[in-house]
Amino acid sequence: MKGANLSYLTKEGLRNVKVNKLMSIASISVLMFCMIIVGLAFIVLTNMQSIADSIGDKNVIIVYMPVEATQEQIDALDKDIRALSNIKSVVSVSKEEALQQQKEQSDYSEELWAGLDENPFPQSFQITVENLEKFNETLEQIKKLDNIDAIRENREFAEQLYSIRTTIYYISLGIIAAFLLMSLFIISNTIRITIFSRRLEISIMKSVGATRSFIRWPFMIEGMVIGMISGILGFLIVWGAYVLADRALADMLNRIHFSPVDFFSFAWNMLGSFLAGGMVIGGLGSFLSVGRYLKEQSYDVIEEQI
Amino acid sequence: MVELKNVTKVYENETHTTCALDDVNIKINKGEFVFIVGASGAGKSTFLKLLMREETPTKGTIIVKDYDLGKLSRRQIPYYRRTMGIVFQDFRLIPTMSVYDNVAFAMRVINTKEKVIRNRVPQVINMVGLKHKAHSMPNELSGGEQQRVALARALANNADIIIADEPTGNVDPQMSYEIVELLTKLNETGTTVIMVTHAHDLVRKFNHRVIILNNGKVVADGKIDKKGGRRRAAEKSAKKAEDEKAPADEEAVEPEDCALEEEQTPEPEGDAAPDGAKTNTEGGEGQ
Repeated sequence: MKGANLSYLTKEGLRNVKVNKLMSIASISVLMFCMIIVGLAFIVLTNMQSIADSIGDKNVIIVYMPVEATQEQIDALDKDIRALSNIKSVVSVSKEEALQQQKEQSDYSEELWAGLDENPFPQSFQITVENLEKFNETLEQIKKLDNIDAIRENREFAEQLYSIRTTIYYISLGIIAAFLLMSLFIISNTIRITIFSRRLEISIMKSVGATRSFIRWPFMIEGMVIGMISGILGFLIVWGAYVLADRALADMLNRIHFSPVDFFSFAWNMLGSFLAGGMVIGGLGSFLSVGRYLKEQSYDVIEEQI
Repeated sequence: MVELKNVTKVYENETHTTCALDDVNIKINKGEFVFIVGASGAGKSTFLKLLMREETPTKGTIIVKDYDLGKLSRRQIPYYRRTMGIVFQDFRLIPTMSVYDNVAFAMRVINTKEKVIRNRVPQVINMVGLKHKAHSMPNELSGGEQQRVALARALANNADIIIADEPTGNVDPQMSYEIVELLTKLNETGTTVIMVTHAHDLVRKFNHRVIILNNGKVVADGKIDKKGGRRRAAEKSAKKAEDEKAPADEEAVEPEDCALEEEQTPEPEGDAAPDGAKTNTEGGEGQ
């Protein structure tokens, strides 16, 4: 397409948004509403995941080595653990660190600690698993490793946590999918109504010999512009709602030691998705709806706007 | 210029078959002015749809200029339509655009350069006598003025054939006369004009070729006698048949079956719509 054409078609698309104000506002409102719902569902999902993850991080398998383990043995076990699959993180706690931690946590006097001949604490490893579903499998693998004195874990808790996370994930996904489908349905109908009210224009274009693509482009650009505006407005509203909710719930969240996910950790991805989604839905919706009227005979268009 | 050879158009749906045009042969030469007359359901709309290439004939061939309409690909249709100007009974102006923009719109959507548009639009607006209303909106214009805008739009792309579908149907008698006069003037410059109409007085006033359609067949084709008193035999019989029916009867005519090959006498039907009446009930064609 030539530059001049594109500029005319874009200008025409923008003009249409302005001239057909009422239908543009209706389309923008519907699309924006759907984006807000999807955005909020996404935020709830992200925060739930964050809560689940923060709990999950505390769910560690602690592996204790014998007190007399040599440095060579320690290094070997460290290497073996890290070599396993499904390991998210391994924190090595040396004998000295363990002693230090105990000193800090207890109320005993310094003299009492000084009375110890040697460090009674063993070397340990705090292991977090990547996939809770494979918790048992990973545990069995760890058990088979050499120089392990004891293992502490909470299998039941891990399993419960896994099922809670999965449930949250599927419920949120279900909500997002349901709203996406619903919004697609509402939006396609809104666009259809918008274009129905413009059958006259389409019939004139056809009768004077405009090509199909030339008829479609302004409508598609109009749809994309409406999608973009909806995306930006939807994003701003979701942002505002998040800030307000954060403020209102700050006290309560502090009490349960939970800090909500930072909005800007996903803000740009959300804005990008809203813009892209809005443009695709608007553009594609217009493309398909105009197609229906392109098939209609211009001769039969009912006089309705004059 | 325009030639229909043995053209039959049948509309079929689940319940019945309708024969809208039945073995029609029409030849219109370059520079002619032709009135197409006939009752509702006579086949006028089908004739126009075929010329506009919104429909293809069931049988027969249609040649317009160098285009064989039956063989046009979907891609070629817009380019074919650019060679003609179409005027509808309901004007079909875009209400949100000024007179100037309505006319320019027809040029813009076929990708004409803005410089050419700026030059041509005032020219055609002037041609239809609306120079002073170029920046008015359609709702500020009378019916006659709106139809003149539609005519200017049809002329914008230098069409050498104008197809007008009852252009005076929504216009008062004086304005109707002026519109046909305008079309006649255009015709004198070499533009071919095909005008479908119900207005017998206009047909009588302007001495152009008249084709009368009835039940999908051409029942008369020729000029009305200059003295206005005598008509050719076929026209006379058709008119007589029309007159026998109640004047206000706009009901669709029962369609004939194409399979019936024998000659038929035109059936009585109402075609005497008063001027300005809207006669858009083409139900007999089964669309």
